[in-house]
Amino acid sequence: MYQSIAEIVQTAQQRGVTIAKLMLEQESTYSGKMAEEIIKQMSEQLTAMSLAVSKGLTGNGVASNPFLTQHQAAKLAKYHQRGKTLSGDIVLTAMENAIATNEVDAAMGVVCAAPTAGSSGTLPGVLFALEKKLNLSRRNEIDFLLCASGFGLIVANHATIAGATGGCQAEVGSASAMAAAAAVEVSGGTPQQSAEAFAFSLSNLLGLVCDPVAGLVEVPCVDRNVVGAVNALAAADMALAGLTNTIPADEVIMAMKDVGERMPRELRETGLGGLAATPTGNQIKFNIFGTEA
Amino acid sequence: MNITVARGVKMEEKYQSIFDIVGPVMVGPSSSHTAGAAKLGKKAGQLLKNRPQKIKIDYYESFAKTHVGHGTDLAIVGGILGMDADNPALANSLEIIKAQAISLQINELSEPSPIGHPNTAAITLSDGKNKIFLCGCSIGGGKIEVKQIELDGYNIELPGSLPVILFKCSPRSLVKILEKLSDMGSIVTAQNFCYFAERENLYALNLKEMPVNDLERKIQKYCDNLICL
Repeated sequence: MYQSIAEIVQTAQQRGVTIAKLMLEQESTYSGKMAEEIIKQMSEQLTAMSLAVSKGLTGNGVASNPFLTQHQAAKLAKYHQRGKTLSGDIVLTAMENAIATNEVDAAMGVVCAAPTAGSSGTLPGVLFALEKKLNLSRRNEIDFLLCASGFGLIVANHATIAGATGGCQAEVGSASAMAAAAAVEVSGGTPQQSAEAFAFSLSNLLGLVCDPVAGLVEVPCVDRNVVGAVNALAAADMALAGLTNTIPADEVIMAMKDVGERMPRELRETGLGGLAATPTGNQIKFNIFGTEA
Repeated sequence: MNITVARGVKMEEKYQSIFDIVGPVMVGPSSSHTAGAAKLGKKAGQLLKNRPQKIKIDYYESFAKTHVGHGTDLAIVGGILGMDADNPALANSLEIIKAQAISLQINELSEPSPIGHPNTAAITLSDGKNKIFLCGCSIGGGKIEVKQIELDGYNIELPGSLPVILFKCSPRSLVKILEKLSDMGSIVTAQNFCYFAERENLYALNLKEMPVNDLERKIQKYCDNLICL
């Protein structure tokens, strides 16, 4: 099993293969399954992602039970269609897809965690925005997920992907960094550029707290996936332009772990601090559950 | 300047499969508080084997603070009823147990987790005759660890990783079972036991992965009450 991003990058460069290919081999060694079987399984994850996006964007979209988040993805899509957006097509599409996924998640619909359910909108946000732009085949999209999972494994094993342990930087931060790295690879960037994009993306979200209002995975989780997706696109572009991050990707993961360990428990998925502890946050909790934060 | 600090740091390989990262496909809203919780519930249900009459869930730390909003109750109870994390019926699990007159007690405990993780749940189930206890945590991305189990009044502490197989047998039969596992290419990563009767122990073996070949048929004759979690 690859122990660091540096090791993954080095191996991919030396052998002249993609990170997606390395992950396919690693999974095959771990599970004893043939490559075709793994691709088929990843294809099912991809299908789950695209079903969630279309569910969240069809008609008026979905609403969660306490109605904290409802129909935002569909509203954004209508605004996008009117054609007068400040940011461009790709960014808007990424935003819509991210919100759509997390609205479905909040409504207890079926999503594919990547790496978690709270951050499940970030990867599909980026992936389906690039689909048209780069004319990606289904196999390219599976490679995107394979590449992203390789980076995610390093984060999960060296640091954490749980909001309760490391805050939202561990969830949306990790998802954003995984998406950035994979976006670079499917755009034809080098393995090192993937690592740079990963490092930019995670560095930019260090310190992000997990402060869910009323303990629900709704506010601010749904909108934070927008940040995750847009940040990933920006980080990928920076890396593809040849910009380099001062702190190497593996050390950014160490920093994320360090920040998570220093984060007070009120800001690690307890619903006791941050947005959850504001007067409005408290009022919402009281309205839903009859108790204050 | 060429610093390679992170290289050579041996990582804890808690997550091994790419599908631990891209996946699981699951009912929202939270992989740790919903999908992981459903898995913990399912393991508890497997331990009891029968449908419970009473369910008690003790929550600690983050689980205690956010279980309602994260659908954790629905997920654990659904898991106990045998549902998987991607089963949309999880959302109805509390209605199902109400209709079946299964009692549910939920406690939000204020003390720190006894197993040192913010996402901790301790589940006690009884079917009127047998009682089981399982304490575990949800470590993120839908991945869980099981740290304590009580079966027929006997306690066993576990390192956390899954899968785990539990059974009762004599030390002599254990040797046979370990041989069989080795023949199947299965790697035992930890072995724990507690004494429960003369010349018989309750054993828990943590395996690197669950053997694909008909494990139960191959080792059943050497032991009693085989449970694969």
